[in-house]
Amino acid sequence: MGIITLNKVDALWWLGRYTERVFTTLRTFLPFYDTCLDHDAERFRVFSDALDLNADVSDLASFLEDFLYDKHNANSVCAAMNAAFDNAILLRPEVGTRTLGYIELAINHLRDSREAAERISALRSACDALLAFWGSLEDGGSSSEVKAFVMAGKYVERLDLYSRFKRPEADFHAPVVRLAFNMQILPERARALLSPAIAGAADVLKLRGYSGELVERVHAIAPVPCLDEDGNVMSATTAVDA
Amino acid sequence: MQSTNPYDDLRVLVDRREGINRELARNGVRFGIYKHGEFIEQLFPYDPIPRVIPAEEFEFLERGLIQRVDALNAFLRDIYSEKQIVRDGVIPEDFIYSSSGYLPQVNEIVPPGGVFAHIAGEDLVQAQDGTWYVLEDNLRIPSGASYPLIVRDIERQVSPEIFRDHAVLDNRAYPELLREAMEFVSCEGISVVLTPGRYNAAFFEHSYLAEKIGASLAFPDDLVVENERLYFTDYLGDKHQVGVVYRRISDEYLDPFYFNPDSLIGVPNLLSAYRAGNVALVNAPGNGVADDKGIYYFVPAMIHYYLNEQPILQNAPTYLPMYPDDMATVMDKLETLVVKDVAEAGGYGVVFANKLDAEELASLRKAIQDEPRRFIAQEVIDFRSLPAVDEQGKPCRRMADLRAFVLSGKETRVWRSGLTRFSRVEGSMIVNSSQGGGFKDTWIPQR
Repeated sequence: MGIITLNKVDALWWLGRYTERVFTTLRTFLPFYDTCLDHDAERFRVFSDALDLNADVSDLASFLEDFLYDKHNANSVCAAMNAAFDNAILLRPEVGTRTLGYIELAINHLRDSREAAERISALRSACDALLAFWGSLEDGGSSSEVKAFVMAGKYVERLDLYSRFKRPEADFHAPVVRLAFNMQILPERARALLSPAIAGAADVLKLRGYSGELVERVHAIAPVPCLDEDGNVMSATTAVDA
Repeated sequence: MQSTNPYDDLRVLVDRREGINRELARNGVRFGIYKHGEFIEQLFPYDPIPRVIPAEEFEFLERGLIQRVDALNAFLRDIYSEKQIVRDGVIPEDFIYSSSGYLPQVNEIVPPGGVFAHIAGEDLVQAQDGTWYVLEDNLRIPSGASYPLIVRDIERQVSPEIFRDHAVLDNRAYPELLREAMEFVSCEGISVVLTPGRYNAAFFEHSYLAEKIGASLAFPDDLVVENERLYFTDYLGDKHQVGVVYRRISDEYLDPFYFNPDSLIGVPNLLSAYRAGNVALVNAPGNGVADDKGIYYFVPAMIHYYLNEQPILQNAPTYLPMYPDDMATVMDKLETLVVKDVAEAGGYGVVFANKLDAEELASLRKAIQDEPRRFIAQEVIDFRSLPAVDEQGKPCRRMADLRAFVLSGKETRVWRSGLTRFSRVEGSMIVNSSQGGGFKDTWIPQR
């Protein structure tokens, strides 16, 4: 159970990313939804644009349908939840049936939210189930590597979503610290595997207009590794010697 | 445990059926089917009224099942080495060599620990007079243990008072039995459960059992054979030797170099590592020769031959049309028999002749005469139905069988529970999940 394959690393990373995508999207959406009740639906354009939904925001009902439930739209909440499930289901021995149960719960709540009368309550329950999933993972018997891969994916996704939603730079402090913490848990060669993805996330922040200081902080979490002739990551010491 | 009306005693489980189903869904207890080329996962229909087998009756079954599986293991050891049972004329050789389950590629291989059938799924029914009959021996990759295993856990959470009031043997030791059977035969290295992938009908079971026995869940790409040793490759490219594989891939797809060359889900050269004695395969390849529907006829003879004992459990009365006397009997009373195509599984290829019209009956008669080796015919056992609840929650009775799990390692042991499969259609005897059947927990009261 302690040995993790490359396919499992991929699934852990994307499990972290997709669960976070559902969670932060919904957590950002719910206050918007509230304010839009008193104004026009155009306000939802920020969502449509931020998530590349290309949805018609002139009609609130169709916007909600596209944004939340269109499983054929890769950028919908439903598609992200299904993608989280598709990764989770491969990871039962690593993550545990009890913890995976929270993913199933989140899917069920999202499905139930399609009934308008239950919508807000069910969407909040979906968020609660995802919080419980992360808590259960952290509290459970999974290895620290398994936890770190999920959490690294989660915080990289959070950086991406915060920048999509144009959150102030101060909001990035906590996810950057948590990303750095989880990367430190991983062995050096594992960090090297994730390094390109994290460097990419840093570059995206730059493109979206965030400060050089923030970009550098993210880059510093996973510096581009030095590789030897066989493609193995060299430690700082051996790299200098070489 | 005794009650004139089982609903009185177990009403709580019936009333809480929805809660149990909710928990089954939350735990992802599903099986997959392909419908019109599309993979669909669905919950395995669960009936809340358990099958209760009295302790003394189960002890009788235990003795019979251990005897039967010991004989089948002895048969497999023999048939892939000396073939003494054929030389002695107990089983005609063409029954061996014409069986699709017989694999000449594994001739002369003695598996680690000498065990071939580590996990046997024995399908039984109980007739109206209480007699138990073995209907099938499943020695390849019998599935289904995970369902009563996980549902018991849920039943105990949802209705703890039932288990406080009724002393039922805890069935949650199955992973321990499985782990011990695997450790007994393991060569040097780790344990893995090999799954063909996410879209296999029993993927839930593969992943759940891997979790419960603490094995790695391996996909075919994760495994590689080098120098006749099997390795599991981690994300850093480091290789870890594998000592035992609980493989959930059928023989023909297991190794494209030895079996079906088109297999994309096998592990190239796995059989080389197995042949070299460097890895144990659970169950051993080639076991299909022993659970062939034709070979079934000879299991009582195997018990006499290898163990010098009288069979404790009976076969359903069976005829082999390839024997002239049996052919005459089959032709004489075909309309009262159930005819099985030996090449089929999962409830397919089973024909109850009394359901056929005259034209269909004539066609079946001709097929048997044309290809007598292809069929067996059995007396229809009027087996007991069990109390159940229908989809509206109303009491009803449904036909059910029992799949008992027998694990062989250092010793042969029977799991004190089992998968009770029931037909959801009134009067139907087809209980297979692939054909819409459901499942019940199987309770053995404590003595």
